[in-house]
Amino acid sequence: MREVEAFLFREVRLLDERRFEEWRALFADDGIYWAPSRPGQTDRDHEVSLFNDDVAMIEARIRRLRHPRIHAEMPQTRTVHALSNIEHLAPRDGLTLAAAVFSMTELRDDQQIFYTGRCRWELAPHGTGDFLIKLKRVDLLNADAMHGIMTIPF
Amino acid sequence: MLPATDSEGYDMTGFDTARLDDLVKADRVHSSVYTDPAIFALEHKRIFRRVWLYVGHDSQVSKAGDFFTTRMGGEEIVVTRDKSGGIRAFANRCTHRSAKVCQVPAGNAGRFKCPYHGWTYGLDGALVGVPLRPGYPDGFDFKDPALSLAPVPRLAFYRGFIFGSWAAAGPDLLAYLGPIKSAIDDLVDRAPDGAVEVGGGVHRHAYRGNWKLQMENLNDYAHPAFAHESSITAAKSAPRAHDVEMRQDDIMAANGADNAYITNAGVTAYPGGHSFIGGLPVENTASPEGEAAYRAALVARHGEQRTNEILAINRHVQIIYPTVAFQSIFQQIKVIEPLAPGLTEVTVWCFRLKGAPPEYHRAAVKFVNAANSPASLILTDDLSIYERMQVNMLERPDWIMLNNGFGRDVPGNQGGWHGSGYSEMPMRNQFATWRAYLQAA
Repeated sequence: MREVEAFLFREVRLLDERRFEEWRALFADDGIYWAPSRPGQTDRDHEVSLFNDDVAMIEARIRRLRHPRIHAEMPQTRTVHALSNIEHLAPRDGLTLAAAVFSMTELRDDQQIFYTGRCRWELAPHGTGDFLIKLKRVDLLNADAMHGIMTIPF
Repeated sequence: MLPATDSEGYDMTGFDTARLDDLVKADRVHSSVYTDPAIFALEHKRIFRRVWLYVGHDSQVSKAGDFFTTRMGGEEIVVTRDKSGGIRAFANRCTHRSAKVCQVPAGNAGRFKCPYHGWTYGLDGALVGVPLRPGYPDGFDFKDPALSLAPVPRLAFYRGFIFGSWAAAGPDLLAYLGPIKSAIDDLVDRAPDGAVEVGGGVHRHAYRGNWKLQMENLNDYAHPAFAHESSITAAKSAPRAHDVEMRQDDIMAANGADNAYITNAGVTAYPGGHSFIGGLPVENTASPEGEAAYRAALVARHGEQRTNEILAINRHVQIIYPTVAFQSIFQQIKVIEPLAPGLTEVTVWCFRLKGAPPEYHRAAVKFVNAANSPASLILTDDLSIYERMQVNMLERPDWIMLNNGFGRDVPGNQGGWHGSGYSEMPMRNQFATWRAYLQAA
């Protein structure tokens, strides 16, 4: 449990520290980062999503975040991710399953924007006490609401 | 600050529309057309309460009793399929005390009962039930059509797409569309079963900028190389070969098409503010087997020659002024609703081609995500730029130049104009129409 918590805390901290390449390295090569567009969404191939990134798309997103002329990140945003209510779910297919409540507070153009919701992780064992993310699913409380600009993963 | 109102709800007494001649020139407009609340109110009255506006698609109300709510010309409406199979649309406003009679975005119902005092309306909007009748004055006529939910005076349909107008009179839909109805044909013709349906959900976003900024951007080929440089670079530097299905970075890379390509892609504009830009070099979205199955299904319906004609069309964004743009080749449309001079709501719909292999739908969903998710690597640059333009236009009112290609556009067929892909002619065309609408008493 403590190993899972440490992994999850580190995962979201890497985003806050803009260590995006290290964040990417937490994903298995067939890993998926998914933020559905509505509560209860079950299909990410036949229905739109806020984020539906395989690793190649995560890498493209990171290359853009590193680009000197990414207008949506000028000035650069800042985020603070927090995790709470972390739960271990029953393992499945050799994967460790975890769930948590999250918040991400973002500073964008002098405005502080608050996102919250629930996350689920499907984690493959990776050496002793470490994991690779097979799936991170983020269900925003306001998934289907009118949104503004999003650039940093939740 | 809202202007004082007249009997129809808007006051133009303080605004002399002859002034628009000074604000809208052939090759430039003054920034106040994007910021002035009086002009916004005038737009509302003379554009959004008059012209044909996009409402929805008949697949959203496929069975009797189906309904959805949407916004049209500044207010919420309810669209229903009534028991006789007709599509109806009316204001979501109880005629008793102005409560909303429908609180949910979509569903199936037999009637709409106001939550406040129980006034009840049929699927056709007619008042069918009023509680506490004995208390009303003698002679109060519950059958008076004025007590029905206020109907959208004109609804019209073209190949499954629903348009509405708040004006009781005016050109019919086909006359309004003119040659740009080909944008809708371009989507529906691609369906082997001859019809499309809403499928794949919606993306919704809002930006703190004027609605016209979005409509201009949709036919603006001069911006991607600069505005979208970060996503073009990100996509073109991808280390891996692309999958069979269209990858989300294909469209980002295509935004970086070279000058000769974009110049030749061209822009075509029609009277009424409508226009389209030629297509980008985006690769085929299907596997060889999927493409063969799709093509065979189209040929079975249309024959070889017509199928070739349908698939040869490559238009990137087709604008039906003033509220909707079709990206037919990608099975998506974008609908705008102005909320304030500096606030615009955008809804992006994904469509499924009936009879096409499922991978065509998956590719469409990927495209919609790539281009129009609030987390899109493309859209987010546009939105941040619009928002800063709006700030500048308020803080430093000045001319907005729209003169790329000015004097170089040539007459096209069907009464329109044609220009280089980089021409700002679509914006000039939008403003010529815009000024004519606003100056029509």
